[in-house]
Amino acid sequence: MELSIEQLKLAFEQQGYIADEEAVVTTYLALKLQKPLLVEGPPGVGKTEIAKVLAGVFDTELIRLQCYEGLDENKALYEWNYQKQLIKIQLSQVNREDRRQAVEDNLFSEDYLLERPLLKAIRAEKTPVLLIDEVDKVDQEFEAFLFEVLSDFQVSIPEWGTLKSRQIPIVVLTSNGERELSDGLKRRCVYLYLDFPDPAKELRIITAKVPEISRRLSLEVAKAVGYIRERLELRKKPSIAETLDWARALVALDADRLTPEVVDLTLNIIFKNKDDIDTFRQNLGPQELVASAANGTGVGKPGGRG
Amino acid sequence: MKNDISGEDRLDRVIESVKPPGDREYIENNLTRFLHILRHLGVRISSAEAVDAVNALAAVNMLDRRQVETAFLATLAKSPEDRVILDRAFQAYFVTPEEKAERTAKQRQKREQEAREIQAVQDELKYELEDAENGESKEVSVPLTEEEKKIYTRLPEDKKSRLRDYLKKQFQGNTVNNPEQLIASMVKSSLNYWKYYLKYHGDGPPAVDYTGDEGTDEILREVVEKLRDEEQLLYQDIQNIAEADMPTATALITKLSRKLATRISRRYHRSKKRQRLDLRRTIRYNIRYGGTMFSLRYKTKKVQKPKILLICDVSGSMAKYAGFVLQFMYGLSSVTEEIESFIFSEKVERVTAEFGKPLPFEITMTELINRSEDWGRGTDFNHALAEIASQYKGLLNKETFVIIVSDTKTINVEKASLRLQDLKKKVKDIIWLNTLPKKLWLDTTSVLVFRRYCHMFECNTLAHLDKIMRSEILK
Repeated sequence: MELSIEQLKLAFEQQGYIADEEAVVTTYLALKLQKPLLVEGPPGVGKTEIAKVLAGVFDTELIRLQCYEGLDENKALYEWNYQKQLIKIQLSQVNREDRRQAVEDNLFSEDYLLERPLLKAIRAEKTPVLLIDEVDKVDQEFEAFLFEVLSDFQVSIPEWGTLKSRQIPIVVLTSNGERELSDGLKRRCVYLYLDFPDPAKELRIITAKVPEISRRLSLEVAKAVGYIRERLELRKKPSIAETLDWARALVALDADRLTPEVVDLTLNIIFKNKDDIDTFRQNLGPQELVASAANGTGVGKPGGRG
Repeated sequence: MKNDISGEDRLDRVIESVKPPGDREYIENNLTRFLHILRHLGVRISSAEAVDAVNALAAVNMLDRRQVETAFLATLAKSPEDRVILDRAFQAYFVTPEEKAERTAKQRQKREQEAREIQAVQDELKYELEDAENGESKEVSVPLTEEEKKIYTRLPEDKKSRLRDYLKKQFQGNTVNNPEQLIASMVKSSLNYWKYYLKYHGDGPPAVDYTGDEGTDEILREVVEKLRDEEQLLYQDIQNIAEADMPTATALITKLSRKLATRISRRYHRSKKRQRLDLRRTIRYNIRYGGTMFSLRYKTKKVQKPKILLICDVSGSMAKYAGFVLQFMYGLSSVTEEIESFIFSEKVERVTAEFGKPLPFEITMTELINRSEDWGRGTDFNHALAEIASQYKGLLNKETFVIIVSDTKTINVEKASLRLQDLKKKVKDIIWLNTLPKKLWLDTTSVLVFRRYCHMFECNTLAHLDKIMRSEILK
């Protein structure tokens, strides 16, 4: 299915994903050039969501490979079901009905193959979306293996020979930038950097995801979060997910606007560790936050480039 | 000569024959020049990525400036830093002809001004010399090279006038043998000092490789100036960071030192991957299946957290960086438990306890500064290493990662290097964060000597610290 930039933007919105033009155009380019899309940015800005939305847009399966330290080919590509193979051998010895050769052939058949995400994506009937999440967590050797798979979309299983994918999957890689990825991997990808949204975009996100919120409150929440991100040096800046949680919490408390009391009550939702709460109390405080969100001086810097 | 011309002709003809027709030629030329500029600004672009960029351009609306830039950003700039550089380069490169003309005029003006200043040097650095024979005096200019003249023009006004006064006072009516040469060498050596000084104190954005082509260099210069204005904090020498910027810088240092700690610990977790079959446990476990090896058990290497040994120079030459060093130590100590910190100048002092307490930075510092006598003294790295090796033997083993923060300026360089070599054998690895600018490394013996036994990184701006985090060695 070929989509134009405008159609893709519309499709994103229909899926409830508010994206700026850069995100849409970059995703469009990745689809058009049939290259993996590498999305980098701080945690909680909607990197993983892009893959989910793409699966929704193309009405296809989302295959997810969650990366972690020590992830190896067995866990990512395929494994033989060792236990099942052993049982088969034992049974054939007991029954003595199967010929040896037949048993051996069967041992490496489809029944004994444990498909892992990469192989699943390669063998899928309909173009799937392959999400390789937090790719910066894997070791360098695995990264090298990964870009080999991503450039050819074929793997070889010694017992079977080479398997080539029927169609090139839509690949989305995400990274929190904890470690610089290798040039080889980057070279093969189209790159998108997602930063924290500016208040205007955040307002649209809040309105889309928390429809029951009042207009005034959503505006104040968007401004307040932008102001916090801009003003405070935090260990963890509030992400979009935290903004939404906060908005929902405020709605649950029947608030129709921000007040110092209600901010004070809900601090634990915006900040996820004690240091950050202390920083907030010392350097900003609920009073100033509410004032800045209400009079509109606290509009944060727009996300910008870089 | 004749051959040359015909050769050139032939080359022209070949170029002509491969030129694509019409408009395409213009766009592609323009694009390759843009790539060229990006590469000179330090963005690494492979041919495959250049091809991607061309394909991406074909897929977007070429009349939409934002879309064109996005196409470049998506295919050419693959890190947040590169994105900033590409954006500024894009703004500088793709301009209207009027803006281009204006920029060229501005640059030309600037160059003319420079040329005038250099010309004026000849007149400014004149002195009167009396002829001993007939008593007449004549004006003599100091013979300087172009480079020396340039250095003079870059000096602050008071330094310039001091040099002029010096010429006037010292040599008026002073009849020594061959005074011209003496004076010339005096002025030259003074300028040489300033060259070193300016080099040392000149902080700037990432190294730019100028091409020599006027048009291209104009753009490079514009981008560099823009970056210098915007990213000042990151590219500024840490010793020059203003008081007002300190909180931001502090937060950055803490963040980066935390990153360093996780990076180092991560590196060692990898040993976990090398699995070996644990036969004893496998047999024992599988007895329940009648001896069939149904479930395999593996030996896993115990993951040992690396210990960090931090050795920081707090001698006189490092005084300006003391704030940075302490922030760095504090930042690293607050995130890593297994850390031993030492400060040294003439002596060495263990400060692990001070940094181990969960106290705010200001209190820790006051305590430390009041107690320690090492601040601002001379440096004896040899002595420091010897003391650590003898008194804290237990800390040095193959799990220990040593980080040294120092400008390498010490007495007993040779002896110290032997100690360092010895240390290297005992520990896992040594990283040296050197506050001395890299351009001076080649002229500094101690750097050359110590470098053999450790991984040395230039580290006097926050950008450096950030770069170190991304470097190969820590991956």
